[in-house]
Amino acid sequence: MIGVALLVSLVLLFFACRAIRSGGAIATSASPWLVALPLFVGGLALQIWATGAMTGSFLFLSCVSMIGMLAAFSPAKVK
Amino acid sequence: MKSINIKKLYAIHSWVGIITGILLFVVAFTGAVAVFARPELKIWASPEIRTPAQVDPIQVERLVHEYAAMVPDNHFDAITIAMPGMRSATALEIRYEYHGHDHENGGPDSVIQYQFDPHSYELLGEKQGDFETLFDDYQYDMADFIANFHADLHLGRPVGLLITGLLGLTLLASLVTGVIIHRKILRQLFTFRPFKGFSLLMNDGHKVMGVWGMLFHGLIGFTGAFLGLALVILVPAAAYVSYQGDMEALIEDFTSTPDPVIAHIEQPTQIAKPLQHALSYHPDSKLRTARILGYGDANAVIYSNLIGGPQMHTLILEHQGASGEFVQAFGNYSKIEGVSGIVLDIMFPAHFGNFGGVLVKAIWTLLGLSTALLPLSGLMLWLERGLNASQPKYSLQTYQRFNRLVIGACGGVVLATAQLFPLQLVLSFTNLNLANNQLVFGSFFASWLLCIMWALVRFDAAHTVKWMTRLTAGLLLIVMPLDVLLTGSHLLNVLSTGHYVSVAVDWVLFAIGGLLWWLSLRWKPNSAAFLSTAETSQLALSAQLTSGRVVEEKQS
Repeated sequence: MIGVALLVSLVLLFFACRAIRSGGAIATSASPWLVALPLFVGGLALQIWATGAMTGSFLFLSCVSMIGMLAAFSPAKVK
Repeated sequence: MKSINIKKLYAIHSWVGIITGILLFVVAFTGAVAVFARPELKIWASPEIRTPAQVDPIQVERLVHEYAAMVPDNHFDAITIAMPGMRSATALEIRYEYHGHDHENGGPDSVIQYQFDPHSYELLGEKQGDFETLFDDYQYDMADFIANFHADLHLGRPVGLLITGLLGLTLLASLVTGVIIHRKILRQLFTFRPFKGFSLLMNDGHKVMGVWGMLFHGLIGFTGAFLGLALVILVPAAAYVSYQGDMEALIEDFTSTPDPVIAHIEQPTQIAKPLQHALSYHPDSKLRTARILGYGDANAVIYSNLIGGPQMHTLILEHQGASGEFVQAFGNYSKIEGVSGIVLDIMFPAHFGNFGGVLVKAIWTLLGLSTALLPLSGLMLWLERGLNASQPKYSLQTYQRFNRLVIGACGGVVLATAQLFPLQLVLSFTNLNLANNQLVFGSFFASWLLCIMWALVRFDAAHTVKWMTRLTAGLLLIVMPLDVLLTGSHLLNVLSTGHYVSVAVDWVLFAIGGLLWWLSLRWKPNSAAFLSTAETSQLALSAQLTSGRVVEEKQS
């Protein structure tokens, strides 16, 4: 159960990180953040639901670290 | 911040990286592998536990009672039941312990250990000794080797733990200085230009891994420093200040599993009921050990040690021995009030990622690899900046020599780890009766040393990296066919053999091998640090010619 919830939240976080990526930096306009925010909240909520508040929040930060890194390494047009 | 301070911090960041970078890579890389050492690689390496065993609590209770009748009466200070495949045990182990009671006068401890087949419950072996000598003839496999190498570099206590602990502190120092000197964090958060030259690849890679993984690297640095230094500095210092140097008394006061007050009323101890409860406590939890204190007494207590599950820390379940009733569940340091107890409880799982299942371990491994690549990319970046400076601080040959040392030491440890996999299959699944410890230790250090010598002697660094990568890839690619050949275990018969973990390990190694081979095909560094001797001489010659022409032009 924890594994499935974690896997789904990783996918959500990946799309959230891709959404806030604008070229080689973080998006500064509001619309990408409006797309990403529910995905981030969904990812966090899933992890808290599966593992509890403390473990879930801790895991969420680690997942954002990894997924953010992967999103930065994934191909995109950078000036 | 003033630019002069930034320059000073940059100098600190660089020198800390140059001095500790190679060792940090070695410890972080082996740490990333060690995340899966227990139990996954342990199961892969041990034929006895490749098929998962459902340990029957009723059989365990029968064995504990049956063998308790054979051991001396004083060996019931504690009875430990170690589950197969959870840590280093490859069989169901039951240990009857005598704690001496006369430690002040050097009274001996004694342990009688029985090992049982986890499927048939047949006796496999028996050992007796004190706590130190019982494991003297322990046969290391590659999982034990990697886990222990990460912890103390096989230098033992206190030297090894001190080194790894201090490395944790230097990682923290590098992180802090790195964050302060890197002033465009948000602007370059997603900047990664892999195809615009070697220098930019290293620069962007270093920053992306550093910034995104900042919290994780900080966590690993802090927990690593604590785990390394706690036993050799912190606990002895605290014991010296408050417990007249008695470390055991300090640990006993801080941990939450006190000995019961013996009632001296005989009553059989219920073992099956508590074990059954511990085994089914949470679907994601795994029972590691159970410890019976006061066996055969009305006040006996059973502590079961669970890992995994929703909580981060190891969970201890307390059951009454006489009735088998569940009393409470708590963390190992829950006795300590406030946040300190929680922090101490999560220190180990936070370092190794052994909570929440195999996916958390995969995340920890990937982030751990980024911790390893951080000093490596930093070293490459330092070389690039040095070489491309208008007035390089050192000669081209000095930079190239240092580059070759980095390649040999870092690439060598990766290759040395990779060769342990096919070697382990030969050791575990053939009847050659080879000396396990000597071969595991010898082959690792010999291949590592050979790689360093290869890199230092061979003057074409780019070529060395390419072939070191290919050799590593080859070693990983042959693991699966070798496993099929020696054990007959593969994906097509996994449902009948039940070897889910070992088949998964084979496939992951195969995928990593394929990825490394593909990377070796694309490896073309455009950097002066990777020039061969002939290319370097050619470069020096053309530089001389150019400067000669400039002088001639000036004279004319």
